[in-house]
This record gives sequence, structure tokens and C-alpha cells, in this order.
Amino acid sequence: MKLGNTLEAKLTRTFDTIYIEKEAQDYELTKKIISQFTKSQLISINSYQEIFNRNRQDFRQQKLSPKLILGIKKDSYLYAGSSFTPSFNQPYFFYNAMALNCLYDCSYCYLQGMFNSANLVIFVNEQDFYQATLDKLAELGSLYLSISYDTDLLAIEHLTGFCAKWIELCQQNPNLLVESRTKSVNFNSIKELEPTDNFILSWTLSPKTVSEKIEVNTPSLISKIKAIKNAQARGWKVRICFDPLLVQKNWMNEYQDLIAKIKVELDVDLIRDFSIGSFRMNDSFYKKIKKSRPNDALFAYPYEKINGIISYSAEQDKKLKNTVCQLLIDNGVPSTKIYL
Amino acid sequence: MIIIHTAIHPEAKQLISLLKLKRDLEFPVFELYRNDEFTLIISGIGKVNTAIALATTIQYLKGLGYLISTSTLVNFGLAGGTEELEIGELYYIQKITDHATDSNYYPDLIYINDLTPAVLTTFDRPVLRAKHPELTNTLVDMEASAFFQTANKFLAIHQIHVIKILIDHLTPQDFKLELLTELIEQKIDLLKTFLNSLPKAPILKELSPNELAEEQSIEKVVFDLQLSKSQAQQLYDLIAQYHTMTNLLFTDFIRTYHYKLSEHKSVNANSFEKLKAKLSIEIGKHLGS
Repeated sequence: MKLGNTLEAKLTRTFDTIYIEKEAQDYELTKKIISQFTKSQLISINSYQEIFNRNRQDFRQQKLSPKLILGIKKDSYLYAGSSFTPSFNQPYFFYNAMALNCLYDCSYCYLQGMFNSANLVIFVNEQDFYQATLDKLAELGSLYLSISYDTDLLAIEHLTGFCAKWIELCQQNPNLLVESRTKSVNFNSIKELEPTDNFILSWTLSPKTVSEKIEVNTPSLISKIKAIKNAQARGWKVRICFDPLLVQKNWMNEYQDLIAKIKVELDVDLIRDFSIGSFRMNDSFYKKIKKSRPNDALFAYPYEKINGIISYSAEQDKKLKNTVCQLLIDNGVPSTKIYL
Repeated sequence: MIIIHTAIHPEAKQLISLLKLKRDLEFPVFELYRNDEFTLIISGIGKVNTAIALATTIQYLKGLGYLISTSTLVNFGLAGGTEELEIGELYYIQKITDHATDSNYYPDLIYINDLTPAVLTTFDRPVLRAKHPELTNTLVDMEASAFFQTANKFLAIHQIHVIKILIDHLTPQDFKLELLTELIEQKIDLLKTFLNSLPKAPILKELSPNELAEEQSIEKVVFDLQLSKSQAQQLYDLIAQYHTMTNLLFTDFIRTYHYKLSEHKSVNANSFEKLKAKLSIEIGKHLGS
């Protein structure tokens, strides 16, 4: 018998299987999510870790057809902010993880080094996250929270409604500052909501080539800019992140083009600030990803390792950041609006 | 290589014929049939037999030079099941529960197949409906949990599959061999289609002529300079950067670059360092732009 060619094998649909923790079954959010996947197989599990932390999973293969896991997070509704992420001078910086993993497949993403599984986990006990945040806010008086940290929350907003809830909480709590960082164009799912200055809609933008070749499955640069334009038109002051900056052929020209496009297409006054960071990653994540992406040029670069962190040399890092920073300044962005 | 495991010969008979497998008499203890693409092992009933037979088969095939890391493992066999499930149906198992330990195993379904999804419970002894009124909507067998657990020691989850044909509604006392043969016969085309749907190796994109030429050029340098595995990786990394930064082909670069060939390791090492330095200079020319 002749075997089928690998290239002929057809992938199953994204989320064709949904694993549901027994404890999560009765949550309203679980019902809402599964009602959107009527053709999917529902499989009952004891704990999300039974699927997510299995031995010998193949992240790259799973990315071809990711499954959805609905679980309950039992603790750790807030984590202290990581040194990998800028705190924007906020004294009390935290992040949370209402979902693990992301719909996109960016080559540089640290999640593929951090997790064994490419499947998406959504924690349906959302109230626990809100309550823990409000408790901490009451204790500290102010709080800066990144809600889209190990995931892209806006990209799954139509499933969860998490961003909408955070916006509501921000409206009620002026001392709570929340950032939701995204590469999605899913602004429509929250467009009817009243903008509030303490909920930061933040988009990561990369030059066209990076967006097309490296940020796999993400919407096009044009679509992202259009989504930001819509957000601005609704009165949102957005954040733009150039992070990670990557050394690619003609990177300087590419950023020049990107910034020029932003200047033409967007209202720069309605950009709250710009955040700039170059590629950096925990060494153990880096090693794991390099092994799973053996022919990926991004993981072939002669980076430096300092204190367990893989990054460009200090000189290269400075050149990348300063160049992009200067390009912004040259295009009329005040330096006070730029965070390095 | 696709490695198929069955517990008893009647489960294997039609597959042996369909796949034109030959008995390998060198293999000890268990019945093993194979050709270049498929191996079929018959373990005997139960978890212990399954684990021993599968582990032994994998080691044996490794010894014959087969690449196990890109193989696929399939457990195929009869199963009982509760009344909601249909006798004669071919099921793809998405969840396996070991009744004795309460452990669960979940295969990863990455590629589409036409089989009906189901869950299964592995017991240590035949299951009579009267003694297990609590069971609902599940198949029942005596091997799958051990098969999965053993297979997962060697392979990634998406390379492991469990396929069952439902033979009765938990009335093993009525089991008839002829019925099994007949039911498999009815589903043999579906089984064949399933085996066809399995990727032979991890997905690799077909190489373009340029990529093929690049691959050959790199391999030639690795061979000429007798590079170690780690040196070869360094070369691959540098060439990946060279591609990204210059949009040029290594094949063109190496055509005009001459390196010294020698039987002496130190001379080759020196040539390799010079080659790396030259490539780095070319890459460096583009770093600032």
C-alpha cells in the first residue's frame, strides 16, 4: 500500500477539540465559549494541566492545529511585573494570566520556550482575577496591570469579553491602570465601550517584512493600522510598541517606512506613548526554541548572553533603540512620549 | 515507519494481508510482521504484554536502522462499549482512562481523519455490563493505556493513535471470531484511508531548487572540512544570517571562495575559522543598514 504524502495530510480545524475541566463546566463563560464551537469535540478533563503539561508534546506540530482548554486557575491571579517588560515608571507593576498562549505564531515569541504546549488555555473563573486585583488595589492605592502578557487577550475578546470587563473596572477605579497589548485587529469587539484613559489599548507594530515573515498568522500591518485608526476615532489614546526590534536586512529603512506610515495614517497626538525594546529572551527558552526551529535565521544570530539573558550586544541594542527613537523624534514625537 | 500494535492475531490478519507484511522470524517472543513502511506487532492480551512487546519492537527497529523519532504508532483492535456506541463502528480514541490507576491519556489529533471520535477505558480484565452499570458512553479494552504510556516514552503525543472497532456491548462471553473478521472487513477501506492520512514524517516543506542547491553547498563544506556536529551548526547559523541580511545565496558565495582542504584536523579547523570570518564580514556589511 502506498502511504500518503506528508504534504497531503490535512490539518484539523483550530479548536476542533475543546478540553473542559470538570470544575469549569458550569461557568457561564464556559457555556458562552462552547456555544461558539458547535462542531467541536468536547472532552472532559480533571485539570487543564493534564493536557497542557503532558510529556513529549510537539509545540510546532500543535501550532498547526491548536486545541482549546477551558480551566480554572486556583491561585496566582497577580504576578509581580517582570524585568523583561517596561513598567512605564509605575511603582506597582503587575501582570496576570487569564489565558495561556496565543492565536498567533511569531517566531520570536518566548511562549514557545516557556510552555510545552501550543494549545490555548482560557481560565473561566474570571471573577477571581478581578477580585484579586481590586484587593491589591485597595492595599496599594494604585496599580499598573498588564493583562495581555502570556497571551493576546484582544485577539480572543469575542470569545471571552475579558477586555470589556477590565475597561468597566477601570472606569470604576481611576487608580487602576491596565494595559492590554495586542497584534489583533479585534477592536470591533470593544468599539461600543466608552474610552477611559486608565485602560491602555496597546498595539505592537513591526515593519511590513517582519510582520509578514516572522509574525505568522497575525493580521497585516495595514489592518492593524486601520484598527488603531478606528480606536483613535472612538476617542482611545493608544500605545504603540516597537518590541521586539530585530536586526533584519534594511531594518533602518523598514522602520523609517513604518514610522512614516504611522505619521500619515494615525493621529500622533492621540498616541499616548511609544514603547521600544529590542529582542531579548531567557536563555533556557531560547535554547528550547532554537532546537524546535533549526532553520530559523532569527535563532542563528550571534547574540550575547548576560546573566542568563540572550540579547543583542549592548552596542547593537543601543544602536537599534536609538535609531528608532531618533526616527520618532524626527517625525515630531516628543522624547517624553518615548519609553526605552 | 508506521508501527501497528494489535493484541491478538485475528485483529491483525487483514492488515497483514492488506499491507503485504512478511513475518520477521528473527524477532523474539512476539509475532512481528513488516515491510519497509510498516511493522505490525502482536503482543497478546493485556497491559504488560503490550508494554513489553511495544518497547521491544521499537528497540529492535532502532537496531535495524529505522528512525523511530519520525515514526507513527497505531494501536488497533477490538473493543467492547456501552450501548450508546455502535457495533461495527471504527472509533478514533481521544481520551484513554486507565481504570486501575485513574490516569488519563490524551492523543493529539493534528490531521483530519474520517473516524468517529470516542473515549475509552482500559481495564485489567474483561468487562461484563452487569458488573459495571456505571459505565456510560465509553469503549472498553485491555491494552490502550499501556500502549499510550509506553509509546509516549519514545514518541511525541501527536505520533500516537488508538483505533478501535466496537465488537459488543460489554458481553465478551458472546464473542465470536467470525464476527470480528466480518466487522474488520467492512471497515478495512476506512482503516486504509486512516493509515494513508498519517504523515510519514514531520511536515517538511518541499525545497525549492535554490534551497536544494544551498543544502548541497553546505553539506559539501561540512564534508570537505570534516566539520563536527557543533561546527556544522555554527555554519548553518551563519548562513541563515547571511541569507537574512544579504538576500544572497551561499552557493554563489562559496563558488568564488576557496578553502584549503587537508587531512589534518588543524588545517581544516583553520579553514573553517577563515570561512566563518569571511561570512561574518559579509553579514556585518549589512548590519548597520
